[in-house]
Amino acid sequence: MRTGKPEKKNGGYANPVISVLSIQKDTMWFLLWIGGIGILWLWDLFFLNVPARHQVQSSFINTLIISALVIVFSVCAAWSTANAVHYLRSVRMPFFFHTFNFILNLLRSIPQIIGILFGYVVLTLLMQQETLNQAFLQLAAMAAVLAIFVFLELHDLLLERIEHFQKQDFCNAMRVCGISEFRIINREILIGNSRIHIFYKLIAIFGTAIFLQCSIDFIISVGLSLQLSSVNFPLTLGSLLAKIDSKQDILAIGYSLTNWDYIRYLFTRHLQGISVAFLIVYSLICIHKTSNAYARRRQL
Amino acid sequence: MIRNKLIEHGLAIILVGIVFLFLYLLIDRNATSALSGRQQVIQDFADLPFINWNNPADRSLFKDAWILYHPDQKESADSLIKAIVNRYNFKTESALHKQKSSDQSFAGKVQHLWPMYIKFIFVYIIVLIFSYYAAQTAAVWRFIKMKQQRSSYLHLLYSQLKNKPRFSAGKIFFTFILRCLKLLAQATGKGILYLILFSPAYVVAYAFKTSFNTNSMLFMILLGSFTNGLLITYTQKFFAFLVTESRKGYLHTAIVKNLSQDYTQRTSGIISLNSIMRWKKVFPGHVFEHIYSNARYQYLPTLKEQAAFLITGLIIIEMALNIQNHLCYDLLQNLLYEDYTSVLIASFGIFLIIKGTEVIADYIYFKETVKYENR
Repeated sequence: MRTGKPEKKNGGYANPVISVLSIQKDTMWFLLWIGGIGILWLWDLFFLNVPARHQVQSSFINTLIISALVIVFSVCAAWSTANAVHYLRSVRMPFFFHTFNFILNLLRSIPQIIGILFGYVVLTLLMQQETLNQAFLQLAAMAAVLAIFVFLELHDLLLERIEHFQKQDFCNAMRVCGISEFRIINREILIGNSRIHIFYKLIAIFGTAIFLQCSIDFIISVGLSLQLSSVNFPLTLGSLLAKIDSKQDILAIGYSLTNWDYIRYLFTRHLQGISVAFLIVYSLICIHKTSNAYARRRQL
Repeated sequence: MIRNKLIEHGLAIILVGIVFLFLYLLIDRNATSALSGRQQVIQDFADLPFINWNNPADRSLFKDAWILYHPDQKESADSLIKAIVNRYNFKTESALHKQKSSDQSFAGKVQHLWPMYIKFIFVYIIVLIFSYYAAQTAAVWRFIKMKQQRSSYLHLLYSQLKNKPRFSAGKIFFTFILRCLKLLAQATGKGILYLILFSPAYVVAYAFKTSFNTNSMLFMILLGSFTNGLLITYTQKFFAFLVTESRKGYLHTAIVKNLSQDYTQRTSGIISLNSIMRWKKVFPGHVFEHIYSNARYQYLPTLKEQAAFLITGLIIIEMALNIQNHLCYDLLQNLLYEDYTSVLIASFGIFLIIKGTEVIADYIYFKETVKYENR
């Protein structure tokens, strides 16, 4: 049987670098993500013109800010809805409980991209009325729209954890001791005993947010450009990829499949599009790998 | 239980139907609603029949007149003209778009969307069935490889290079180099496969646009199945269920009852390529049979999530690639040209597909539950 793993010495690996990387694969993938982006930045520094490099940088930073805000909004929304569902169930208000669940299930049945698209149409109207002027406010609004359609994943997890711990004896013991239900749910179950699960889910949501955001920005920039170009959404990786320069760069990949000698020009002449595509795909791979490795390490 | 679920789905369809009907009536009534403030000014100027806004002379004349009557708004004249030109062009293109479908009634719009809707459902069903099978097969494959304690190709390469033999003969050196190159090629291939699996569909499509006809239905099915992270996400989910099941206590009982736990892959046997690739996977006499069937049962509700994610992926493909005569491209165009009735019809159609899938998934899960609980 092929194993081929580096040899272990006294329980650990002989090479300290291998040792760290082999034990904590999630950290390794996170470092690989940062490292890969760093190498790309250095490469761009030498070969990409300054305006294009600034665009790539600001689009990547905006994308990260939006995705981070999606996490914040998702946590707030999921925490509130999970508490609300639990409260409505425990006080035996079947009508409100079923209605609330019904609305959440309805939200689940709306394809994320359609929901986000309509959300962006609303944002456009708000921007046209000059209600959303500040750049950060625009980023936050975009994140809020995305969060509406991704927070349910976290909501399900929180409810699952609450239900799981409700069956344990310690919950009843705490109730007998006079500890409030709010504290049992939020402090003991969710913060105390579900942190790892929540963190794992948040990494996954971060990846989903990047994917959805890039996709919607690409779609809007390609398909709705006539209406929205005058509004100017903040630049993100998706909208930068939709620009004609970037698309030409991506098309060059296809050209080089039939003209092999052209490959050498891809990484110097077509750097804007290649950099953006690489940032999207590489980030998605690394985030996926990090979350899976984390789940595996924590045996979730 | 299934009755309640069906009632819930039915109510959801009715409620969304009523909301869409209400929106349709609202749009119909307010088709020529008044705009406010600056937008109204822009609209009024764009509607002037005697100005061709694409003519630089007309624009220049308007600018002079505007500055003459509004000297305090001299700086904003250019931005105003730009907005008017945008609105004027939008109006012209919108009129052209509406001319394409001659029948502007509700029934006419449904008739226009119907063939595209059927085409969308066809692609959706094929990709859903394929991705359901492929995710399970890939997860089973990965689980068996994990049980065989196979290392990654890069680990193997590292190991090979570290333990390189003494090259007493040229043949040994040649074999060593070949083995290393093979591992390197396998690692590179796996890397490229990962890049494709995680890529958003539009990146892959644009990358291949000059080499293949990316507007064909086959290409759309391939994109829907292999990109947008669909396959890799649901392979991982099924794999997670397999790993969780493999840690449970009942497996020890199964092993005591003499069920096989040998994961060595043979050409014919319980764990063979044939049994892994089969649509209905059975592993008689092996503990994996129970791991697999329990994981599959838990995976069934995830099918609803997979369907919603798949629909999102297909919408992204159609919208981003501007594939004409496809439902979602048409939806985007109608949104652009403010044909909101068609947008509502298409959106409701997509909602019905998801609800239909949810009903089927709930029914299959219910049937499996009945079987498991010996009801």
